[in-house]
Amino acid sequence: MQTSLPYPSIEQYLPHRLPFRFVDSIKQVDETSGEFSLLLEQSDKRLIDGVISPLLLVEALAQSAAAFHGIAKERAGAKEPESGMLVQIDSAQFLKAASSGFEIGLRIERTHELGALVRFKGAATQQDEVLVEAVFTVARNPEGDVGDR
Amino acid sequence: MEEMKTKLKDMIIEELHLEDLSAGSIDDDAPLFGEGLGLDSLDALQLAVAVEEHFGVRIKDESEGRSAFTSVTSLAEFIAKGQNTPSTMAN
Repeated sequence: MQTSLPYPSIEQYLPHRLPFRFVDSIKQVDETSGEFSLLLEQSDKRLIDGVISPLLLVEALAQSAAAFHGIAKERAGAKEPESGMLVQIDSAQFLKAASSGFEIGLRIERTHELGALVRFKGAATQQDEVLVEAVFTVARNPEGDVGDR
Repeated sequence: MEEMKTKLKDMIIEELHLEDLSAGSIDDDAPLFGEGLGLDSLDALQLAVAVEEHFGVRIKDESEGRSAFTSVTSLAEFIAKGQNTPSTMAN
């Protein structure tokens, strides 16, 4: 049965801190997908001329994937965190600019996994409109710090 | 089997953007990774996705991938076996 308890802080699952963290909260996570959110207020320093670079929304999706992976491992009983990094943007479509003051929904779905590489597809939406769609690959590094390969 | 190998070579060239190669220049039994075509782990993931999309056979883990991706011949044999085994077919 799905628990109704709120999810922990996103910072429990990500090493990123402001201003380089581009996901604010966890909405829902299941076995293969997750929904997260980001809110950029008008005064947010990450906006340039009131706009956030669409590439940073791809980064937001990648950070969402990282948090998803952390939650999945936690549910599987893992005690130690696992590092990883975005290694490839396989495809991306930038459809609409994001607006400040409205929540951005970040939805990711794990589609394939082979060894240390995991592929996700994701979409950033705002007020029911798709801003960015992307397919990207992340590399997990369960044995140590990023770069120990 | 020969037709499958040709299809696979065309798929490899297209999916991995190996525009300088032709199907005829890829040896059936040459290593796909390391020496031979010199593909890497990102290419392996892309090939796994392509095999599933084109042939409906899913590579379930890294060990299976290492075996299947040894050469074009091994990949063709893996796919042929997978297409005859309902449990390995992607949903």
